[in-house]
Amino acid sequence: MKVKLQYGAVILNRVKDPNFPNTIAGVIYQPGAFTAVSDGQINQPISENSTVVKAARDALNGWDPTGGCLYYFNPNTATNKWIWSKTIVKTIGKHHFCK
Amino acid sequence: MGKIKDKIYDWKNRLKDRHMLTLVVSLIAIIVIMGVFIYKKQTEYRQVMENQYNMAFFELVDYVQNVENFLAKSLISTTPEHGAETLTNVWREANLASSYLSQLPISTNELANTSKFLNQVSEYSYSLSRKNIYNEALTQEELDNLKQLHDYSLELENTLNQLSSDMSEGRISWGELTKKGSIAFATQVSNISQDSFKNIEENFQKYAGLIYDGAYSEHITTAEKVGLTGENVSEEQAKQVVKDLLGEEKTKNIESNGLIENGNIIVYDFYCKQNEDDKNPTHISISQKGGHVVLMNSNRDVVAEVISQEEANEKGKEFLYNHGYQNMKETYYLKQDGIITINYAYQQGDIIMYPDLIKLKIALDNGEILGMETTGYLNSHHERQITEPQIGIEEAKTTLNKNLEIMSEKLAVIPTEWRTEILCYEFKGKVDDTEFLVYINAENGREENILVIIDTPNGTLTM
Repeated sequence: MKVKLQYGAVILNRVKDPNFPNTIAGVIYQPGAFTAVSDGQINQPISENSTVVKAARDALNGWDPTGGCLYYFNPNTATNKWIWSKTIVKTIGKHHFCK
Repeated sequence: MGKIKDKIYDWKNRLKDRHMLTLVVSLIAIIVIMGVFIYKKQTEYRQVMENQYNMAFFELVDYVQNVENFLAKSLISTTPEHGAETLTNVWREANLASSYLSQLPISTNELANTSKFLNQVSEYSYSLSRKNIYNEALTQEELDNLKQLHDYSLELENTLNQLSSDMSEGRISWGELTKKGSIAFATQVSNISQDSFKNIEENFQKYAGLIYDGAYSEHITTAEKVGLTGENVSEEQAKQVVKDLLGEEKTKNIESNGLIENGNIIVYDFYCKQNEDDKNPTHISISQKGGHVVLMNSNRDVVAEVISQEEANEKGKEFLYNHGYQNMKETYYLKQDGIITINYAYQQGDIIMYPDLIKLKIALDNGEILGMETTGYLNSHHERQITEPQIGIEEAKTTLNKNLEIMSEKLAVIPTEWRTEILCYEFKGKVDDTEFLVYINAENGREENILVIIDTPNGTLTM
């Protein structure tokens, strides 16, 4: 199973962080923040009982498997050098999670 | 040249022979028309974007101006009433400024400190305005902090004004700012503007975190976790905790993710599978300090709901009891897709300790514990020294709205946004058909909080 909980957790950690917008919508739609928003993937319909929905609910209920991470990136495709200056907390799947 | 001309004529004649010329000509015409149309649309869209960015930017400029203005006023305000009003204005304007800031197409890392500054100004002025409302004057230290914030806001305002005139005179456009690769002629322009935004940031490099009791203050985010007790455990010991928690069946195959040192709590991370190709592994984190469960989670489809909410409550409580969490009482729950999430709070004597929170996820088909989340408990759990309330319960009741029909009353400790705790009387009551929870401070009789209870088929929620 692909676990998606960590992405929701990053969004909610950003909402709580002063460096980022204070609402969920503000964080998600912040220009350039997430590639899935920039390329329109975000508008893909998902079914009610998809694992993605379950993961989103867990994130909203407070489960955070990242230990407070604010960023994630794919080390193979990341073009921004700046991201490497962040402290990497853990790797889940293809992504490095960092704060 | 002549050669090419000949070739084109030759090609044209050959097309003419086969009556193709009209077809080719009309195809070219269609392509040109479509190209023009698409180009126009595209310019239109770009314009819409530009306008939106401009609006966000100029709103930001305005709100930052107001922040600076109201901060200046707050420095010379002498009465708490007027101080409260001014600071409330700072709070609002800073909040709006940060919301518009986040709409600008500038990458997060370049504006992070500016955003933090605005959020902290907003928080700080809010907490000071509350103080003023209770008729307390500001201390010299608080005034000094405000003075410093005002200086920073002045600098931010000046930089933004410079940028704003650059923009009005057409030296900067958002298209250039957002462009990834630097194209030769655009580079110079975008250097000016990117640098301007960087300059804003550099001003804030010096800006250290304020020490104050706000949710965003530095010392809150690094506060000690009083519930995280005990000696460090080894990975093997942590594995044993996992086995005890999940049982033999689920932990046949434990995959270790190693020690995660940079998270909020240092943990050993594991994935537990029932067999090699288990599609729903359970993720579990055990703290290095004391071997506490920090987080456990798994998901699966639950089709039949055969367990009632009450039974689930008991199952959860039993589970907690068996794993060393005694005196936990269920407070709220939420049911989604056959999985119930129940909040348990620690009860010390008769007093509910809301900060000491553990959440459990329980499947309603067989009562399996699917998830556990203990951050609240680990952050704040300890045996508290409860002093006798200064205010009697009858006296506290006089503060309540006369229309509130009281259904239950008890003592509770509630968390504040800034991680402090208040001992309160919790009154559950009804006005018409709406249920409320009202919290009256047991020390000074202030109304600390009012929550509306929303009963949905899926659970009890408070807002």
